[in-house]
Amino acid sequence: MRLWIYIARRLLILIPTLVGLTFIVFALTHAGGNNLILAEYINPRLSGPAREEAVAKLTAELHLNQPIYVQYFYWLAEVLKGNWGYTNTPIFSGSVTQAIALFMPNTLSISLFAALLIWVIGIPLGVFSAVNRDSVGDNAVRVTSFGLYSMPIYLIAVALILALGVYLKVLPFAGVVNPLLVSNVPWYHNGISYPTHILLIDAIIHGDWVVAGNAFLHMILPSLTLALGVLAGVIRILRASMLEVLDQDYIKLARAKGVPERAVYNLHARRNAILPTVTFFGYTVAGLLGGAVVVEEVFNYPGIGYWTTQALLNNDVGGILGSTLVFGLILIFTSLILDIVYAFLDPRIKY
Amino acid sequence: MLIAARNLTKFFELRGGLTGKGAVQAVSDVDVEVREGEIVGVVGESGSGKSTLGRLLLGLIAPTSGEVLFDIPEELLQKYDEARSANDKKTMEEIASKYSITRKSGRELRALRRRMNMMFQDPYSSLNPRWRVEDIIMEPMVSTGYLTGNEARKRVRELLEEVGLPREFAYRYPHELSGGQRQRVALARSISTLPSFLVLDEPTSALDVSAQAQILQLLKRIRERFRIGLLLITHNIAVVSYMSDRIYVMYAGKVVEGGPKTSIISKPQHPYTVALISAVPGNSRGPRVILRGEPPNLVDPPKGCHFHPRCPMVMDNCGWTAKEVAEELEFLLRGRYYGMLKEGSKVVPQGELEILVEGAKAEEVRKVIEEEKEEVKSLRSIYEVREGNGGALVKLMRYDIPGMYRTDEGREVSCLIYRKT
Amino acid sequence: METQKTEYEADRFREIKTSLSVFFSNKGAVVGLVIVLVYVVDALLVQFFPQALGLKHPYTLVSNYVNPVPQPPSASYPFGTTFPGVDLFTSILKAVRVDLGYSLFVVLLGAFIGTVLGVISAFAGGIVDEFVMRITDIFFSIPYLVLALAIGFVLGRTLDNMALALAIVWWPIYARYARGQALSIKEMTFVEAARASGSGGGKIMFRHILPNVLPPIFVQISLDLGTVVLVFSVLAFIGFIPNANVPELGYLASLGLNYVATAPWTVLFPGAAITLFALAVNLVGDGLRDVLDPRRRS
Repeated sequence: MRLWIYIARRLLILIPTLVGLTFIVFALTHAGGNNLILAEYINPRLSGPAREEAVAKLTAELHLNQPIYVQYFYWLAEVLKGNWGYTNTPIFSGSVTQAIALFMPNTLSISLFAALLIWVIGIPLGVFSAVNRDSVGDNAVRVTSFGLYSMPIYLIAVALILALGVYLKVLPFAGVVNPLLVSNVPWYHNGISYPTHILLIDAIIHGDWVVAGNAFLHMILPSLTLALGVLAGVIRILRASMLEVLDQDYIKLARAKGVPERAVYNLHARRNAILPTVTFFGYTVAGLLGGAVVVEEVFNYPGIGYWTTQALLNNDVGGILGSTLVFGLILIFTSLILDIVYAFLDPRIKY
Repeated sequence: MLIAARNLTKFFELRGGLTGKGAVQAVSDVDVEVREGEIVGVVGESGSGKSTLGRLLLGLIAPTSGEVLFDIPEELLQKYDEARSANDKKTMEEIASKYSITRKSGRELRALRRRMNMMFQDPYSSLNPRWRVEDIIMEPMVSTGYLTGNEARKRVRELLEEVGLPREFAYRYPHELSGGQRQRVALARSISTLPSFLVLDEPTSALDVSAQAQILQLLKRIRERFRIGLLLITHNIAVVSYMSDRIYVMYAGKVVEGGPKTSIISKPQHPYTVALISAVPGNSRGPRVILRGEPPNLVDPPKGCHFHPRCPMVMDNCGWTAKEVAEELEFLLRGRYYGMLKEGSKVVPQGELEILVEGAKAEEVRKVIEEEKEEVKSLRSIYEVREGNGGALVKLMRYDIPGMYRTDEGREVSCLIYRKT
Repeated sequence: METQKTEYEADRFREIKTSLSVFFSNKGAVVGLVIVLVYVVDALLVQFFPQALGLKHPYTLVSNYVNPVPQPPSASYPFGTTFPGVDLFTSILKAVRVDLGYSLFVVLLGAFIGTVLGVISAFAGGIVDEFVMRITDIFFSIPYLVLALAIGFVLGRTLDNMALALAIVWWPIYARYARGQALSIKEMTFVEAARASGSGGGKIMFRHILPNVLPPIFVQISLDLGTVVLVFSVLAFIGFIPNANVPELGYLASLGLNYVATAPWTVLFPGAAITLFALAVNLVGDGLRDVLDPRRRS
């Protein structure tokens, strides 16, 4: 019963957070005045009276002469209706929602791949490091993660490109697929695959295993870079929380009772280390999304992050607004879900 | 009169949930007085509201209701009390508006701070670890504008000597001092503006025995020298009996007994005080009274006298309510008298003073009550059992709320036993 | 009295000495400190005595369009050159000043705003607290890189604005941290003692609570500096400052990106310079945390 009240409260808090997020995003993109917005919608080749007419029409349509908080509500109503405005960048021109539908799948696929790598590499290393505290292995893991933690993500990317792409020549490092392979494929036009927009899945759907394999190879380096960028933090958090659990009195008691070490870790420690693990999952999501911006830029991987930088470089209000909103919504709902999972897992939580 | 509290009440609202969860009735309807240069002890177990009372007297927290009259002439206090018995709100308001510290705010209250201060229990958290002793002791002087700059610094040296510390301690930080030294610094701080009233909240209970004795002696000397009225809050009867001139005994947010120290220690009157004093180790006067149960939950304190559920001398009108009696009755009917209560029947309180024993005969219930009355004291409050509503209807007598009754010279007891009829 | 005072100061000195010995027993922290000092000295020299390093144009990159293609490291270009013919070694020397200065600005401004707001929030409680915390929630709900991009976009893409944008996304961390600290300190008896002594809200907040909140904040600052240096260079790398000609390590790395397959040094040297600095700062931060945390003093 308490739990449901807590969840209800948590959902209530969601409302001001969402309003705040949308307002900040809106205010940011409109703080620069109307010129940027007008530039987005009006054909730059228009001039003279035709242009003035277009400006007047757009001003009325977008309520640009109203105070900013009034504009916000008009804008919010449009956003709720699914009209997120227009974006105009070299990689895509069209409605923001279309752009998101197009770019999101790519970001999701490399992020999920990276998350998988983090779980497969990070959790065993973190636990190993804590259990074998101060051993040679632990020190190696710590030094490596410390080094990774201090590297800018573009350096990780370049190092991987040089090692695996340039010298060993085993992995491709630009775009989503070798363009020659898809030049004559009916379900692929202008860099967009159909129906899911995820090339790997679409290729599998159409049974084109060569393209699927190539698309998969193209995912490896961006995902690996992303994973390495987040991994160091994950290992540090996991090691610390595992150490804390291992330091608890009930673990010492279990050991003193003569419970075998393996059972101590598996039965007593790991279960209690799950809670921090949930928290670190949130950290992973935030890290992956932030890292995607850089990784996609370096690898020319057409995801939300690439679109964001393109929007920035081309003064594209719609792109900035749309991507900020998408990133914000993903993180807000991730943290909502995590909080609820947390409440279910932790009997001690009290609200 | 240095300070007099009248009907002082403090409820702490509990937050949480959509509807709120009630309030902790930390202090309810308390009268206390401290005269110039007098040491008044407040004893009670933890949670009895004595610390809250101390903070209320200093205006550190705002009371829910009631007044704290500071520095009020005797005749005006008398007038206030007379007005209170006559329920003359206008006169009370007139006096309170002038003397009550609860009416003062901002600048006025800060001016009052020069004349009253507090010393705390924990010598480790009561001194800011990042301040030097000099700055700590200076704080009240500077904040109230009593002394500033070099004068204040000079005074710090005098105060250090006064509390038995070397002058050089002015440059130290708290973590470089022992617990007893820290309490001396805390004392120097609280007397730095030569206040006339000081609240001491368990000033020695965090110290070891030898340091305790030194601090207590020091307090006595300081009181003598500066004629400061002290309110000494403690759970330690020995400390109170060593230090105080008068004592108040608190239980569950109420003052149950008050009066001169010697008379209370040698002849306690309230059953709680009797139990408290009998529990002091080495006390040879009378048998040791051991109280049953726990102090009550102050969110929903017992009705009537707060002490009645634990009182060894409890009477029929001390505050028994249907809920308490129904609980004990059900316990009996399901235990020793098993079978009287039919399957699925319950003992249901109906309002504050009526209980329905479902499906039971009045005759049988009456017999149980007669047999158990001696043992189960709450049953004494039952005055009638009759058939009705498909069972036995048990009626309780109305309880009385004890007032403060004058007994001996200067003694007051809040117990119906001492009510003059 | 004076002799006592000096004796007392000897005590203090001993106290500081233990702290120092805790710090210096951590080898990593010492190495980190030395590296940080080298960077600081370099930054100061570029700022005040550029001629000592032989720099003619300490605040801009010097291009050579006659030979713009990156050249490998050689005797005259120890780190090689990057596009368009920029000598990497001297450019990195110049860039350290920019990265260090701006990162410090970001962290200090963020910490200042965050700490003040956090302490006020904890002290005021109620609606103020709720409001500030909801705002930090919102800031936390957008990846800081993206939010900094959005803010920078509005402010205009210059180096100064990039730093400002980062500071704006950086304060909520400090607000939460300082609030947590302040809440626990607020419950200490000395705060109540101050109130009983007649001290007002402002004095309690800034003279009692703040000084106790600051030390852990300083450690946080030292730990954060490494991260901010990285984020700053990443922002510059993805093109936040257009055609700036500013010696900044991320920007410097981005110049050679198109040649990375044939001229890896163009990215690796600036990248290594930033990594080394972040590493050193993180090591120092770890050491400082040991000094402050009594449990780690053993």
